[in-house]
Amino acid sequence: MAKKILLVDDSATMRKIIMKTIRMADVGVEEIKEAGNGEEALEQLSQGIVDVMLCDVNMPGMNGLELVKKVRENDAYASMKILMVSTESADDLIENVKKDGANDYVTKPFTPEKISAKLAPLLS
Amino acid sequence: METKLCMNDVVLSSASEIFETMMFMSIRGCDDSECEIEGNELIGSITFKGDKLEGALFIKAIEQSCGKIAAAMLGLDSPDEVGKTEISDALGEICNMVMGSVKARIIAEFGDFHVSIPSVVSGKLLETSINEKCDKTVIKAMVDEEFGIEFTIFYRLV
Repeated sequence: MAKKILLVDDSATMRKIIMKTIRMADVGVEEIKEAGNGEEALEQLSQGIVDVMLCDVNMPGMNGLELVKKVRENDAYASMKILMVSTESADDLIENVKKDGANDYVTKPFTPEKISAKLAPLLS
Repeated sequence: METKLCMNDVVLSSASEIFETMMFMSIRGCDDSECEIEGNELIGSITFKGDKLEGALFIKAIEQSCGKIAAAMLGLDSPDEVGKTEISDALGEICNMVMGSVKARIIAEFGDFHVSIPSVVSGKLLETSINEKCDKTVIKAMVDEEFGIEFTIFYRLV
């Protein structure tokens, strides 16, 4: 079955870089939707659920952690997996992100292999 | 002095990690005479603040060099295919990733700290400074033995 991803990052360039990396990872993603902030992400999700939401932690306005909390408050998105993306690798942050409802966490910089190792289990 | 030496190594190692992983580009520390940055410049900056350490990291290169970096990040064949916004975004993201790598390397010594969202400015003869009394380490480097780039980190113990 075709897999869909929602990519949330305030940098359009970073979204392009992540999309390139996901394509190189070849994990069977059919469609990648984009959102530039938390509000846009919620709007995109209201139009149709995706299999995995990839979400940057540090964003202006509604940050990634706030977005995860909002998404997890809505039962309609209970089956959707969330993979957080950040440059930060502090154990406390990763623990908090998972506690708030994210399924996993990947740190930048990443290679297609690193993305594949995190994304493939969430898509299967 | 020990902290200054440590910062030099930490920033250069962090930059090497990012450039090699994201752009497949090599980076090597060099002296002033080798690293010329003249022309329309871009400076990316990001600040950090914690209970023990605070400061800012700046990355400076000419626009043409930043175009090559952005093209490599985006997997494009030529810098001509990259727009000004993408070049600026790419430099900001490099600041973010280098700072993330720096943080991972020093968090055990200095504790956790908050990192800001990066910003980028362009112009000619740009110089970096901050008002507060800080130590300053400047690291000049060559990327792919082709063009120069400058990393400046200001920091002080709180």
